[in-house]
Amino acid sequence: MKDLERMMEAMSYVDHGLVEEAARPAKRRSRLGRVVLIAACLCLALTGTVLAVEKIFGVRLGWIEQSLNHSAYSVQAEVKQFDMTQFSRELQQDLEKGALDWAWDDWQSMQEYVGVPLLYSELLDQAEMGLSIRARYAVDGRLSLDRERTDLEQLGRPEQIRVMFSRVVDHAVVDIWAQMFTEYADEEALAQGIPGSAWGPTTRYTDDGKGNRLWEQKVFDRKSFSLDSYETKNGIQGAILTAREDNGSEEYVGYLVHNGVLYFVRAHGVMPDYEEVPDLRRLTEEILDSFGETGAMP
Amino acid sequence: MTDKKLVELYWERREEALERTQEQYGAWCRTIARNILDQEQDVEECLSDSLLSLWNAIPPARPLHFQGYLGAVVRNRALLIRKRRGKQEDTVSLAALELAECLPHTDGPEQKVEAEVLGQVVSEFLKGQKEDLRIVFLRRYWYADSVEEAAKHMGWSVGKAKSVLFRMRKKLKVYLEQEGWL
Repeated sequence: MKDLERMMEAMSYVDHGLVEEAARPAKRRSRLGRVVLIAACLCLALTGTVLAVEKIFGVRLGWIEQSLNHSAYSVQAEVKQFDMTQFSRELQQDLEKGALDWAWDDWQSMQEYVGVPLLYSELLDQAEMGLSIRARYAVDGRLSLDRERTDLEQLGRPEQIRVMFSRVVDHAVVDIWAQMFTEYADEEALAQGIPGSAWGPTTRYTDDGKGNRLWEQKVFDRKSFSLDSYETKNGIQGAILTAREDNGSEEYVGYLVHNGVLYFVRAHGVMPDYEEVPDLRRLTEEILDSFGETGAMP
Repeated sequence: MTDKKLVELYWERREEALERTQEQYGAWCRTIARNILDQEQDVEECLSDSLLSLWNAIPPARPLHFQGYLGAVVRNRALLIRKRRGKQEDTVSLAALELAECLPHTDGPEQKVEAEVLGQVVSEFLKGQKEDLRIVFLRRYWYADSVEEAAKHMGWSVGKAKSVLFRMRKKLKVYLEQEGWL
């Protein structure tokens, strides 16, 4: 018995970094993913154009991870790996200097700074700022593929550049990301899927009467995921993910993929002064439909 | 919120640190505790104790890998409660039994120090393995997943997981022999 206890104790001293690594969903390639990738290769070989692949495949579910109180998923999309020279010189210089976060007050300034042409939404550009992100347009450049902040030694070599903004539309808070994967992104991991948001369980607290806050977490977070293809009114390929809890409640995430950039749209909250919960699925569709090309590029 | 920022909150002694920790890692910690403890009451006790331990440990600690550090606190606490509850025939015992085959058989006052050093040696061994191999190893022997759960985590068949774990234990035994532990 002592040997057993000793071994279990010894394992507690294993490097914390390794423990974290094992906490993340394992990289895997679903059968569907393999089929899609093979089909994509065949399609490329036959047509020789990336555009054809985008139109055919859009966005698909990759791996799904589920345990008692944790759920996660990934999406596979025809994203590009952008060469760093495709971003603006200013952005490249900032990365070299180690400046990691940028905030812009207007779309045009942000777009010029990023350099890679992005889809524009007048609806979102003119909407009131949401609470989630403290800048009208934020640009983040120190991110791994799954949006984890990377270690200092990886400064200047982000796996993705992300534009983020938050808006209030129809009394709901909506977060929007445009994800541009760089030449530094792990090609194999990209093929397996880009990790989506896995929402944590609802946490509740009570007071024990002595001023101590007790942790009372009773709401499990087991969700099932499904993805419906969606083509916007402007003909852009995308999909809407539905995350369904065991109790029947649903959340939605909209995805678009255009010119190799992946767009993420999540309507997730209602403004405090508004009691009626809007139809978030319809709202997600409305926001996806609002995206279009700006035409002139910086 | 990044882990670095979270650690800063602990250093600033802001209670928000506990709230954020629960939001970001509550479910994960609960899974670790549940894998080791079978009574929900014990799981609750473990989680409350772990948060208190964390609050007391940071500062002075400034963990480089906050999540892993937190996981180790929860795991240690769960093992202590489990020990208090007495012998249990479950997946944790089975995992420990499998792994104990690789170990030297000694008892003594130096046991705690030895466990710490042994943990570091196991870490070095794991760092020399391919990523998927070390992950399945830790799923089974750190997180105390059943073989079926570890296989599911990896997207493997149960047979493959069993086979890989068997080979890993053999390799670990050889490694410990080379390092002078056996």
